[in-house]
Amino acid sequence: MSFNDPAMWTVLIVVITIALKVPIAISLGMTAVMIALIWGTGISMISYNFFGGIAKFPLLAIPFFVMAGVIMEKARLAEKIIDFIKLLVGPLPGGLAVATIIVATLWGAVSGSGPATVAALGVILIPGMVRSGYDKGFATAVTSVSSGLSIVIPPSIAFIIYGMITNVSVGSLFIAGIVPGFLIALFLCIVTFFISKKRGYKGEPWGKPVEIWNAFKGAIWGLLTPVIILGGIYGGIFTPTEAAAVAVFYGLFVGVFIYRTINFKTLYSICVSAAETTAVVMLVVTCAGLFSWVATIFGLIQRASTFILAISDTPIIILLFVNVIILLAGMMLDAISVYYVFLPILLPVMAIMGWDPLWFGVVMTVNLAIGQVTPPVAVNLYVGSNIADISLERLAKQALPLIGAAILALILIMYAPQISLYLPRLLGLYR
Amino acid sequence: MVYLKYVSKNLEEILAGSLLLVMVTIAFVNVVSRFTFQFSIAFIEELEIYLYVWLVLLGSSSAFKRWKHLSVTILVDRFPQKMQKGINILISVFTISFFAILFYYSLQQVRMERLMGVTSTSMDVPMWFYTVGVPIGCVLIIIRLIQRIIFLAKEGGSQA
Repeated sequence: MSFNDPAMWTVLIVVITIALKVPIAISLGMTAVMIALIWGTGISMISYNFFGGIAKFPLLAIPFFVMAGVIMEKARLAEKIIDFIKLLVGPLPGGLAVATIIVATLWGAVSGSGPATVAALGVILIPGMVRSGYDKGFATAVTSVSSGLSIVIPPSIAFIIYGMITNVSVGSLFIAGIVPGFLIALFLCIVTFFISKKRGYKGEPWGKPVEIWNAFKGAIWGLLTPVIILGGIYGGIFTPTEAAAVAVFYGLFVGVFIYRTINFKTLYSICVSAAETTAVVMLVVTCAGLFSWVATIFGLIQRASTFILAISDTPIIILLFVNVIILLAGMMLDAISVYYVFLPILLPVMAIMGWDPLWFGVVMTVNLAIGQVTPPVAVNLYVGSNIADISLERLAKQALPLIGAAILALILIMYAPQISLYLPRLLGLYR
Repeated sequence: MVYLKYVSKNLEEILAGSLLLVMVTIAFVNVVSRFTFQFSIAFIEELEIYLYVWLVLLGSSSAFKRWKHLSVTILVDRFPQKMQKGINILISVFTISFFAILFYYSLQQVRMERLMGVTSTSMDVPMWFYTVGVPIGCVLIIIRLIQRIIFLAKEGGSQA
């Protein structure tokens, strides 16, 4: 570490600017620019790399999936799914909270982003639970944590980015996320069930078969979306990007002709909101790309990889160490920056350790999803606390047992690669 | 006049929103045409990818207007109000300098591509039609950031 060491300055500038509330994208991009300018290497490539960081076909799935999610939200599909699931599991102790977890998991199959799911579901589910006598902090925690973890359920922006960087097929990643996603949901349900039982949160009255049938008819249009997306990708009919475009038009069809909730004006606001959300994600993508490019040129990446490999001779210790680092990084940064900054470091480690890239993608994504609901930063909790109007501290306290359950699920997914790899192999998507 | 004011206030939203609608529509048409006519329009992929760059720049500008870009606020939120205001202005200046540098080098790229007559692979369109989106986007973003600095200095609110 000397004064003239560009690698040291890279780390220093990033940490200080991010801590001082500079947008993460700008912090990463500006660090790259400054280092390249000062050490006189590659600055003229900045614009080419910025352009090239966006202009990639697989990344085109992001705006379309985001748009499909916004359409489903504006079509008020969430209400229909909630009505249906509530009738199915409502009578259990803590039935409404368990229903929330299931709905969030299913909603994850429509929308690709965690905070968007908290926002879409929170406005309906949190007041609903509070009315039924649940503690507001607990109600918000259940919604935020289960929504945050639903990014493991395909389609997911996180998997698209991971596949992009590591050259793992996005279609396989989507399929690999299904079982782990439901496993996490199951763990969350169990914890919620016992907490509710202890605190005496009563279930809802039983629904009549007619009611259940009607609710099912209302919800089926939305529940078909993941079938179309995954069926299309798995059947080799669509690429993920095309599946996303089809999902948009399917959603518009349902919203305009069946639920009659979307008109020209809503369509405009859908487009604007989806474009803006996409841009926020993509500015991080392309600026983080600049950062990892400069970090590679100046040898920071290689040094970090060597450091990780030198930690221990025992592979399991290295795996645990890597996961703790990812968890800590995910607690501070958004998932996309973590992929771009850490994956170049981890790729050589993965190759040497013989870690399966598909399995590692699931592990890393679950890990980052947990980071996104864990204080201090916790984007998802932040959105939840805004919706419910309660303090982050109160919310975080209620979220802890749920986060614990998720970490337990993560350890299981880490320990048994079969959980992630069984389904893609069964479907012949993966060797 | 009213229209003009609306457009100048919401220019990026209108453009980015329409662009997204166009992109998703041509992507869908391409899928449909592949199924019904066994015919996939080759240049559509290229068009979409490059329109995407425009979409991201325009959308970013609209997100900067409302300060929606992701940042870690936990430390600065604990600072006194006056200091927060100063930091918010500094952050905007820092962000402007990034886009100013990007503007300079992207303009170089555009000039280079015009000079050498670079055309795109499948549509044979001059490449700078696409790359010029970056400097234009930078200008829009810088304008919105300057507006934000003026707002912060005048109103003095610490809220982003």
